[in-house]
Amino acid sequence: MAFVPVYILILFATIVIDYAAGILIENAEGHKRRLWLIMSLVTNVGILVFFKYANFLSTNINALLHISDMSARIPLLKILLPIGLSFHTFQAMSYTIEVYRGNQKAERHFGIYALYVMFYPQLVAGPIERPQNLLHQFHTPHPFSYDDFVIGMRRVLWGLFKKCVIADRLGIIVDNIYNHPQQQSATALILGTVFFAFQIFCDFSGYSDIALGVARVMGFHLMVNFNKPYNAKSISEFWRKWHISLSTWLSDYVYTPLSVRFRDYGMKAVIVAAIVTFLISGFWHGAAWKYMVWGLLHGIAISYEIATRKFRKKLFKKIPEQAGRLISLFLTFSYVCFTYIFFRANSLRDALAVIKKLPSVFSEIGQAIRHRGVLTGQLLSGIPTMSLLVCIGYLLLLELAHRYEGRGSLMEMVGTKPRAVRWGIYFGMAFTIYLFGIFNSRQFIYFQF
Amino acid sequence: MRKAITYSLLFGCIMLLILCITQHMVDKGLTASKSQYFTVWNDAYQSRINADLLILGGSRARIVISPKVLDSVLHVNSYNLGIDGGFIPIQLAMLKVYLQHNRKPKYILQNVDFSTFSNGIHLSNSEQFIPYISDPIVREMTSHYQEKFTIPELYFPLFKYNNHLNLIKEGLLCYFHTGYRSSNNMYKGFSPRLLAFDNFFAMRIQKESDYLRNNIQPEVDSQFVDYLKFCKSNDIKLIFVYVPLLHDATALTSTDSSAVTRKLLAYAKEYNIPFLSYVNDTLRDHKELFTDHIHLNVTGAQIFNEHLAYDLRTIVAN
Repeated sequence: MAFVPVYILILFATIVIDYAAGILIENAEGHKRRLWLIMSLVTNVGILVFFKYANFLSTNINALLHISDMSARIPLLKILLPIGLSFHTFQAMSYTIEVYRGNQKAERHFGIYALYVMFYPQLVAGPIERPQNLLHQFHTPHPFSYDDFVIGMRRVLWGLFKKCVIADRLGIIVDNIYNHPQQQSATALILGTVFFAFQIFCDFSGYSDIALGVARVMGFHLMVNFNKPYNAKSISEFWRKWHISLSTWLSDYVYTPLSVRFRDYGMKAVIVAAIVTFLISGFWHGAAWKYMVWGLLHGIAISYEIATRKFRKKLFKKIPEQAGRLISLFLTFSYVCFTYIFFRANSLRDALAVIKKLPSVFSEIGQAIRHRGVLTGQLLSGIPTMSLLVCIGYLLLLELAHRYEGRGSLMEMVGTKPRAVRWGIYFGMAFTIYLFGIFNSRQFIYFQF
Repeated sequence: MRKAITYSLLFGCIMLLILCITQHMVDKGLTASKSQYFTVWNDAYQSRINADLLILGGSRARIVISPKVLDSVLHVNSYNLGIDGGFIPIQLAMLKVYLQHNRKPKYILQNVDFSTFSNGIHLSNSEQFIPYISDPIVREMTSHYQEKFTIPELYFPLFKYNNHLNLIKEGLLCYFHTGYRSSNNMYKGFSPRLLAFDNFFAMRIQKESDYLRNNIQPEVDSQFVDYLKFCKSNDIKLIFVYVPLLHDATALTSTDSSAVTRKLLAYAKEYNIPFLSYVNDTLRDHKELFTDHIHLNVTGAQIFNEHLAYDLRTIVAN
């Protein structure tokens, strides 16, 4: 992912094409509407495939040619992935699809349409907005509102805290572990994976909070992208709480149309639709097999949940509600963490090496219990105990914040407190970010997608 | 809008004020600190040294050469300015700071060894420089290493203490409790090690393949020559001392130690500098006197200092 000024032209070209396509779809009738939609989608997907997947495809074809003892090779392209391409491409596609479906009127003002695609708070890493939610906001004036300013700034502060203080701190340990997985103990690998789960959550939801906050300061309301995903009791619920703008996009434009189209096949259609949807989700994240495996694992889990819904319902009726809830939470979180091994590992080979090591965790813990002190000495070698404790402290703080906020947003709760408490919290957070934030060049994880 | 701007400015001003006040207190506290890190720097900055005989070097000087023994035998006021992980450019920065705030010494006992003309890419214990980075000497010196201070660290209040809670705590404790002293077994910059032998040095060499690879770096050599000239023109008598190493220490490094020694001997001859080399001393065969391959432990240091003081008697007397 990079910013190359000339790549602005790509963005400009897609904006022009989709702007025109929207109007043409609206004005056309019959099969022509479909034709214009296909033209727009092919252009968008084509650009995405060219920049993001061309070299991946070439590398894999070359590998096949090599296996077949053929000397021909497809040369690799020297291109960089334009910044935010996956996000604004999906956003642009949702516009033409919604115009085609008749849910959205075509935007006649070129500037406003361009703003919809390039709205800077969410251009680089979402949320992937729908035209129904965002476009109309550009048509109404947004006089400065003190309340919006305060709510927005609070959200920015919380986002920065999650990103700079928690995510990047966890990232140091995670990088340490995942950059040399072969040298790590199973305990360290599990710890690294759990830390990564929180790192990616704080990193991405932190970015989303900053995006939402900045937009709110200007009076715009973007869609909420995260809703305590690790409190999910199933993988389906997890996807209703994690990267909501992408999962609803995939649900609306891939999963639902596929299941409806092949509904005659019953359960099979739903399962195939789920797997296809999550393979696309994996592929959307990155041009690497590890992301495909990550997507496939989620697809399999969702399919399993769909296929066993009645059975699981019966089973959970037999155990106390609270115990059932805890078991579901634990199993869901564990599975999500397991899939993160593929997401975080530097390659599919590394991910498999990590998984191969995992079973030895039991013998390691047994040894640690027999020889006190081994846990931080040998099992977690290279991780300073203090850093570990600080990270655990931050995670507890995060959990506490999530519990405290209940159904609303934490920063909205803060807004209801007396002024002295509010300002105390603002100063506390600002000082913590300033003094304990990590300010090296670690970028947001989702910027690479 | 006005309300938002007013509150934002108020928030910013209060933040700035608190940060500036805290930085002042932490800086002030650390300059009164007696901890391992800061004692020597503070003594140098606060004109508390004014030594006749100054010991200059890296950790091998700091850990091994005892002013107590030298003072008692030579009847001089000596002080050890040795600095952990201090390559020549860092040692010379320390000397510059010293000379700015203290009386010129009569003698400088310069520890030399296989690393004299080397320079690392990392600053060891970069925390020790933080309270002093507003000093152009320290700022310039640190700017050549990977851990160089960034613009926000140099100019934003308190930002130089970002992720250094220990320093903030120590600074504030020293500021508010004038009697606060962190543990320190240092005597006039000398900081002996009691630890049993470990493979720290060997492991470091193994881990950092670049460490000490270039045995003679031209820019370090040039700085060293400037230093020799400076001492000569300012009538400061330099004495080279090569503190003992464990017998297989130099074999661990990829440096050509004989080339370094030849260069040192040539400079000693050219600038008429006495060269006390203990590299072949019998101590080199006694592993029990070392804390790692290149540092004598407290017992080894005691034995060595007696040798050294004895050998220095004639030089200092002249």
